[in-house]
Amino acid sequence: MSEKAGALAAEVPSARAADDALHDAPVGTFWFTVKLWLARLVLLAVLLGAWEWASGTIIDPFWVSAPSQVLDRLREWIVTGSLWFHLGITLQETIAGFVSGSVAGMALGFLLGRNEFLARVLDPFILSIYSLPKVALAPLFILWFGIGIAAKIVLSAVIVFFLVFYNTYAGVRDADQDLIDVVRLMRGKRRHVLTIAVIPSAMVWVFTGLKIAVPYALIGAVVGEMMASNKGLGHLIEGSAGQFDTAGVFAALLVLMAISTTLHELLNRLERIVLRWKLVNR
Amino acid sequence: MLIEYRALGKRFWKGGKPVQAIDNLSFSVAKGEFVSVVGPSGCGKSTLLNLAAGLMAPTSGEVRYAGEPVRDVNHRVGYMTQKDSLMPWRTVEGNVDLALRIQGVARGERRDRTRHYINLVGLGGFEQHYPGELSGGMRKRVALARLLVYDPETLLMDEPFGALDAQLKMVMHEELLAIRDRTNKTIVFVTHDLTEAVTLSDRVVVLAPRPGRVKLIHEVPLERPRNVFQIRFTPRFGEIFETLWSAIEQDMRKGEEV
Ligand SMILES: Nc1ncnc2c1ncn2[C@@H]1O[C@H](COP(=O)(O)OP(=O)(O)OP(=O)(O)O)[C@@H](O)[C@H]1O
Ligand SMILES: [Mg+2]
Repeated sequence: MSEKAGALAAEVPSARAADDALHDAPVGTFWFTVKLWLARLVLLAVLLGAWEWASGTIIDPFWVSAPSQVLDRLREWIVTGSLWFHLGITLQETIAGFVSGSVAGMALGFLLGRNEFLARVLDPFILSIYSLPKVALAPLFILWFGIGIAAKIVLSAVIVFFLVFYNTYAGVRDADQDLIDVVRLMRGKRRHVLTIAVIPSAMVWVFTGLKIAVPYALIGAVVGEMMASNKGLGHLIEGSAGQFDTAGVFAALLVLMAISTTLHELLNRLERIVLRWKLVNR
Repeated sequence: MLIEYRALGKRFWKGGKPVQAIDNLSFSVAKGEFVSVVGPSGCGKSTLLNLAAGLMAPTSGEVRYAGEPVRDVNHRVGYMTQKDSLMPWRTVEGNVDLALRIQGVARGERRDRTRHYINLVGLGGFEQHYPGELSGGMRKRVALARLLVYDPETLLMDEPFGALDAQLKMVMHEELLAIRDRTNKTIVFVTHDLTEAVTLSDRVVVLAPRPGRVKLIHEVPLERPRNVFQIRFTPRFGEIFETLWSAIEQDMRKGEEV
């Protein structure tokens, strides 16, 4: 669709032609979208049906529960309000960890990306912390920050930090020297080089890092909750499993999945706004 | 002399091997002069402009601008590179008004000047388009507008009209000469097109194939203002073209074989 628009704009020297190309493109893709979603729905129905059927006929529901039981459990949690409580806690931790980790990661990424010497000095230090499995830090954070949400936020932030940092750094290093020279020849100062050439170019990489980091932000929060907590979805999973309530475990997993995909989709939308120029290229 | 290349040498390293791009090259460009540089591909034309812009340092010899050796980015030149080097994340308008934004020109004036040059290069109506939506020739014209809009003292232009069709090229020649006659800018102009070189220039510098050296410098004593559509049919033009062509012909052949 965008390719078509680009090619047409190139051949026909009129601003209107490009608009027209954009308008007739979705007509071709509309039925494709319908078919795509129908196929997905059918697949989902088949999977859920098979699960429901198998549970009780070939596998003991004690191990795998069943979609109907999972729904019952969700309904129960919604009625008692416990779903919103635990969901709220996990969301708070995830979002706070994600935002603080991302901001710190971007800041250091831009700083080191533009300062090669400092980057070289810090490289072994950053690499050695990066190579650590971050969840192994959880007990330490719980020791330092207690069993409240602070420890989970920090764990989540640390994991997110490295993913965003490395992507931002790579993005800054990737910035086109020719574009930087354009700004410098026009008497651009450091800050102009950064805002006009480097940051916009690195944003493509930054968003890749942010999107990768979403599920990891959840990992940080949930792992922390499973280790030491009396609230949050991690605690809910841990608690349900402790009572051999497989329906409860699946219900909590379903909620986690919903959070993760929602956050991912939000980022996608933000990306489409910030990187609007990419939509017209190729 | 505004720009002086003195016994210039430039060596690059490619995969551990030295490549002598330019060797012992000297010539000068006077203030207000329009000088074209022609020569086979790879003879160091773009490198010459990069050196004058201060984007790289010579290996030997020196480049002087207004009497001073060029040591850092040369802010007194505007440079239209061979690649169009547009910011893909900025619209046509956002690319053209870059220098004015950096200078802190007020919004209203910035907009007027930007629009003026966008119209001048024939891209009115495309202000809000991104470079990715434009053809190669259109992108080149955006780069031209971006160069002209902030009125730099000297213009370095690397094959600025290479991607344009013949008619549009002549329209651009006319605009460029009008600007030159009005502002008396110094222009160093790299091209493969001899007709273009003779039409526009006061002097044409022919370079020998790599390592780049001056093979011939030829005056173009055609009177100004010139009519870019008709000047090519005058006998004087034909003579100059012949001389330049015979100087460049052999090397062009050689260049193609490589
Ligand atoms: N940054 C660089 N690193 C290595 N080699 C380079 C670099 N820039 C130029 N060269 C080499 O120097 C020589 C001259 O290059 P230059 O781009 O100046 O040629 P040109 O005359 O502009 O050619 P064209 O007409 O094809 O644009 C070429 O052999 C090229 O490979
Ligand atoms: Mg070149």
